[in-house]
Amino acid sequence: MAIRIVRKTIHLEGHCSVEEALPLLEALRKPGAHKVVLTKCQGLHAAILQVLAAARPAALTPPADPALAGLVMPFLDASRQAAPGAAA
Amino acid sequence: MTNPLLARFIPEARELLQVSASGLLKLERNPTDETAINEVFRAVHTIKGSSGLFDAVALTRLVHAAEDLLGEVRSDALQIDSSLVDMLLDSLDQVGQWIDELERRSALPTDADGVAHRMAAQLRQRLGAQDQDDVPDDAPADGAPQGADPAPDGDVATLPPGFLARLSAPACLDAFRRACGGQAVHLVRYAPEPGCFFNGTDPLQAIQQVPGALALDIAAAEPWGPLEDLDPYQCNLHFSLLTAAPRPEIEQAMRYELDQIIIAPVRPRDLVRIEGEPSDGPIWDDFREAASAFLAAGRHDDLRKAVGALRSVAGPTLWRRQALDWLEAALSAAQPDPALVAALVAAAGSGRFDPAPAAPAPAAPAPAPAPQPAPQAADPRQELARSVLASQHRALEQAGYDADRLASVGTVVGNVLLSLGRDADRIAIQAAFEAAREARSVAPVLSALSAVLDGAPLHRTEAAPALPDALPPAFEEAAPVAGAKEPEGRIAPKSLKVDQAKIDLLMNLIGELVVSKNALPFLAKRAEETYASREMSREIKEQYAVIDRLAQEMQGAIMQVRMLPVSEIFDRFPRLVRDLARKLGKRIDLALEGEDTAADKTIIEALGDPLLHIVRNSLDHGLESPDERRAAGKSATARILLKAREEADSVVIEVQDNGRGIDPVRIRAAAIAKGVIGQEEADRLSDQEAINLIYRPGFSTAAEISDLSGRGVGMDVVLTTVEKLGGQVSVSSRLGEGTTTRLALPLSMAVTRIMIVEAAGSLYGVPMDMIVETVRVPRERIRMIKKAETFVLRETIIPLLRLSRLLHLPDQPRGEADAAVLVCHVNGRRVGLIIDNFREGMDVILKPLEGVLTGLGGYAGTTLLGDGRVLLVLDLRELL
Repeated sequence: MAIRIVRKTIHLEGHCSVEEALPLLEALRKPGAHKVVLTKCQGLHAAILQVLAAARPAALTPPADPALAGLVMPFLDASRQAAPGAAA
Repeated sequence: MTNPLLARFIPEARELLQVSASGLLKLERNPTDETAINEVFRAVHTIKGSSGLFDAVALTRLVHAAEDLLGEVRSDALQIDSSLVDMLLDSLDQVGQWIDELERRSALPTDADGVAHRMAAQLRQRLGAQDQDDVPDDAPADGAPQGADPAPDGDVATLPPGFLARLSAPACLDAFRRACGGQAVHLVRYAPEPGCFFNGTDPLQAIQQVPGALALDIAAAEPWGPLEDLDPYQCNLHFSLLTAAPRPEIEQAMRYELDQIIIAPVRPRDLVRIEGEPSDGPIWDDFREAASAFLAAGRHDDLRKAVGALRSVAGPTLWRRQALDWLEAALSAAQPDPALVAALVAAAGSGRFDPAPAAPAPAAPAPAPAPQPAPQAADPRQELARSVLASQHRALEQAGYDADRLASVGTVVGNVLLSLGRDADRIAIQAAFEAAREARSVAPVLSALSAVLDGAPLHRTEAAPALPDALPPAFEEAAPVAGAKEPEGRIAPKSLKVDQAKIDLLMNLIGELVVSKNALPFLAKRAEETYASREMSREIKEQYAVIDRLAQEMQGAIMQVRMLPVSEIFDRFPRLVRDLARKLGKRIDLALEGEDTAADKTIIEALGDPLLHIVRNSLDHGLESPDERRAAGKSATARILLKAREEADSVVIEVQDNGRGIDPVRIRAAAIAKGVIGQEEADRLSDQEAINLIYRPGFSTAAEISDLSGRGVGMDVVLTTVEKLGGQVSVSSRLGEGTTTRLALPLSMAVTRIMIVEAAGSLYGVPMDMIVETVRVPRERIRMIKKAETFVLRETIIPLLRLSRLLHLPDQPRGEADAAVLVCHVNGRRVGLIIDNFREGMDVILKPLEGVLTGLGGYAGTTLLGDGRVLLVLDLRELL
C-alpha cells in the first residue's frame, strides 16, 4: 500500500498507482487541514497528481527524489498558489 | 506469412496504393479535383490506419507524413504541383516496396527506419516551406487579421508563460544554440483524452518517454472545481514539453497518443532568457554601433570577434554580458538569422531585449535567408518575399532549364508579387518567363528576378492586414483535428475475394465434366449398335443435349469469374508514361479506351510486359521531342492511345502513337547491318514486310541503348510472349504519321478449339487458330521443286510437308487418292501439311505435358477424347 494515513497526515510512498487516487481523494475530502508527505514517493500516476493539485492540501512535503520533485512540484506549487487558503 | 491480418492487409494496401497513384495523376492534371483528392486522402489514410496493426513503424510514419501533406492539400492550404506529386509518388513507391518486403519476410528491411525518416522529413519540409510561401498569398485574401483555423502542426509554437524559468540558464542557452544551428527544438503539447486512465494510460509517464526533454509544464485543462465534485478518474491535465529530440523520435515515443499531441518547432528567439544586473557605459554604445555596421554588411566573422572581445572584459553577472552569450550562440550557427542577431545586438546595446515579433524565422530547416541581410526589417512580409524570391532564384540557377520547374517557379513568383501588390513587376516577370520558355533557357528569368531582388525594396502599394501572429491554438481546438478527418463511411463492397486456386479447381472440374459429357454420344452409339436399342439411344441423346447445355453455361459462368478488365494493366500506364515523358523531355498525352474490355486473368497478366515494351518503344523511338514535332508541323504534345476491344473470340489491344512512324528504308538498312537478313532478301521485302522485321530476334534500331527500351532485346520478346498465348501481333506504320501496334489474343485460354486429323493411323489435334484452310490436292498437282514437294494454291506456291514424316512415323500408302492438305499459318509463312484425313473440330481443355514428358518437343499438350482415348495436340511452330 503506497498510501498511509496517520491522522491528518497522508504519506504517499513508493509508486502510487491509479487505484490510489480514490482513497487519497476521500482522505482529502474529510474536513480539516491536511498534510501530504511525498518524501518517500518514487513515482506518481497522473491521476494522483491531479487529485493533489485539485485538493490543494494545507502542507505538502516534496519528494526526496529531485527528478520527481522537479517534475511535479512546480505544478503543485502553482496550483496551491492559484487559490491560497482555499484548501478543503 | 502466418499472420492472417497481414495477409489481408497486403493486397488491400496494394489496391489502395494503386488508387492513390492514379488519383494523384488526376490531381496533377486538375489540382482542384475534389473527388480525386478525397479519394487519395482516404486511401492513404486507410493504409496508415491498417499498417498500425503491424510491426511496420517506418511504413506508418512515411504514410503519415504523406497523409499530413495531403490533408493540407485537401484543406486548400497547400497547392499541388508536379514536384509534390513526384515526391508523393516516390513515397508511395517506397511503401509499395515495403509491402512486397512484408509479404516476403513479414518484416521491413533494416534500413526502413532511416529511409522513412528521410522521406518523411522531405515531405514535412515541403509542408513547412509551403506554409511560408502561402503567407503572402493568403494574408490579403482572408482579410481577418487572425486566421480562424488552428495553426497546423508545422507552425511555430508559443511557449506557456513562465516556462523558460523552469530551465536552468545553461540548458536554456544550449537549447537556443541548437535551435539556431538548425536543429529544431520542439514543443510537444499533449492533451490526453479525459477517459485515458481507463485504458491504462498514465499521461505523466507517457510524456516522460519523450527523449531529450528540456522542460515540462503541467497545467489543469479546466479550473479545479469543488473537491466534492472532482472525479479522480477523469484526466484534467495538459502537458507541454520542450524537447531537443527530432520530430520522428517524439512521434515514436508518443506513437499511441499521436492524435492527442501537437508537435511544433520553437523559434530560437522565444528561447531567449537573459538575466543579470543592469549596467551602463560607453563601451556598450560603441559595441552597438560597430556590431550594427558589421551586421548590415553581413560580416559575421567580424561580429563574432567583436562579441568575443567584449565578453572577455565584461563582468559575467551583468545583464548585458549575458546578452552577449546569447548573441554568441546565435552567431555560432552556419546561417545566423539576421533578425534575431539584430535584436540581440540591440539588446546588448540598450540593456533591454525586444524580440522582433513578426519576422517569422522557423527553427525547422527552412530555406536560408537571402544571402545579403536586408538593411531594414520593417515589414516582415518583404523579408519573407525577398527570401522566397531568392530561394526560387537559387533553385532555378542550380536546376537549369526544366519546363515544369519553370512553370512552378513562375506560379510562386507571380503569387509573391501579387500579394505585395506589385503588378508592374509581376507583368515584367511573366514576360521574362515567356521569353525563357521560348528560348529554353532560364537566363531571362534569372536576370529579371535579380533585378527585383536588387532593386528598390519591395513596396506594397496598398495597405494590407497585418500578418496573423502565430496564434497558439487552444488544445480544445487542435486536438480533435485528427479525429475529424474521417469523412464518410465505406460501403461494404458486394464482392468476394476468392483464392485463385479455388477458381482453377472449378475450372479443372468443369473441364472434366465437358470431357465426360463427350462420352455420352459414344454410349448412345453403342446402345444402338451393340444392344440394338434405338429407344435407349434416343433417350441418351436427349439427356446428353441437356447436360451439354448446362455444362456450356457453367463453363461460361466460370470463365466470367476469371475475366479481368484490361484496366488492370492499363492503369499502370498513366504513371509510367508521365514519368518517362518527364525523363525524356517529351510532352505526351495518354488516352485509354475500352478499359472495361475483359479477358481471362492469365491473358491479362501475361499481356502486361509486352504492352509495356511496346509503349516504351513508342515513347523512346516513336515519339519525337516537342521541337522536332513543331518542326514537322505537328502539335508539340504527342499522343499515345491505348485501345482495347472485343472482336469475336479475341481481345484486341492497339497501341497507337502519332509519332514519326517506322521508316522501312532504315529498318532494311539496319537489318542488313545487323546480319538479320541479307541484301537480296531485303530488296525483295515489301515495306510492310520490312516493318515486320522489327520482330526478328536480335533486331534493335536504337543507335544507343537507353534505359527505357532498346536493351537489345527488342520486339521479338513481344512477339514470342503473345504467340505463346495464342495471339497475334501486327504493326502498321505511316512514315511521319505514326505507328499502330495491334495485339490480338484469345479471350480465354481455358478452352482451345482444335481440329482432329489422322496421320499414320493415329489421331492428332491441330489448334484451329493455325489452320488457314483445308484442301484436297490431286496427286498430279503436287510438283517437286528440287527435293521439296509443293503445290499451287490460288497462284501462290505453297511448300508441302508430310505430317507422318515430321513425326518420324511410317507413311501410309494412299494410292491415287487426293492428298488431304492442311494449309497452316506458321511463323508468318504458309505451309501445307499432308495428312491422311480430316476429322471433326472440337473444344478441348488442353493439359500441358507433365512429368517425364515435359521436354518432349512438338506437342502443345494432350486432351481426352469422348471415348477415353488420349489425343496429342501438335505445336506446329516447334514441329516445323
